[in-house]
Amino acid sequence: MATIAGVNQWGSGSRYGPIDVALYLLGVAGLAASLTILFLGMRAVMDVGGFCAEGGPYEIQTHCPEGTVILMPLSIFAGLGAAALMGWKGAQLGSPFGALVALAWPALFISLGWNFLEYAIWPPPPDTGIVWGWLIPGVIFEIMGIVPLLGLLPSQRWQGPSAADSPADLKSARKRLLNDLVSSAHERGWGAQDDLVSRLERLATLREQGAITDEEFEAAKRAVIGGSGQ
Amino acid sequence: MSFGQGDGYSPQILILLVVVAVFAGILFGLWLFGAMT
Repeated sequence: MATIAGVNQWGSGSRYGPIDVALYLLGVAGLAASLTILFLGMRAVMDVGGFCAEGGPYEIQTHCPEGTVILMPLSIFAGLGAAALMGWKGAQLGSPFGALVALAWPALFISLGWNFLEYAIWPPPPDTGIVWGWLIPGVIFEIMGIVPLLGLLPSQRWQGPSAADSPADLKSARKRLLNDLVSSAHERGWGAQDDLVSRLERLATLREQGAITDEEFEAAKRAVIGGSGQ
Repeated sequence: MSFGQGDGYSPQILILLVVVAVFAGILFGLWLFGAMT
């Protein structure tokens, strides 16, 4: 069987074939199926009050909805397996595809948190009003899902060309420039007197713009002048 | 290595396949849950 070598622009250049792609997609589909079953199973258990039991020598007050005893543990272990498969094969396809598995965490907590919130605000009979015992885990689950999701998104934006748009970013960018300037002055020394003057002028401009303090300016000036003598 | 030279999978195709796989997984989960409960 011929193997197609796939290399994409985002990847590490590792080679992969159609079987790797198929296994990756199996992991994606398996993870989506597991999350769906867990979501539905949780709702079914919450419909009977949130607690249920099967088996054992005890007299059971609330039996579990049919099928959930098998499906819910199965969805957890199948989901973990699918996530591992997705991460493993995704790493071969390239970093965005491997990193996509991280979205399973927000998907899990936001969807299950939604169940808690929905049943807290509109509880099934005989409960009425807000069920605080479900509202609190609902809020916690939503925070646990949304905060990492927000953490994932801006990290992509920061790599963009508009990195220094805000004044704070601009200021930190200038400081980095200044640090680079000073360290390169130490490393190489300044080749020409004109160069030294232009560097000093740039330092003065940075001070006027408020990007550096007077103390930082003096320190940088000493470093630049000292570097020119090397 | 660039795309469109027939030597690999384009990211567009892979992303499309991922979206299809997610929907297929959700549908399979809905079907399995409905069939077993």
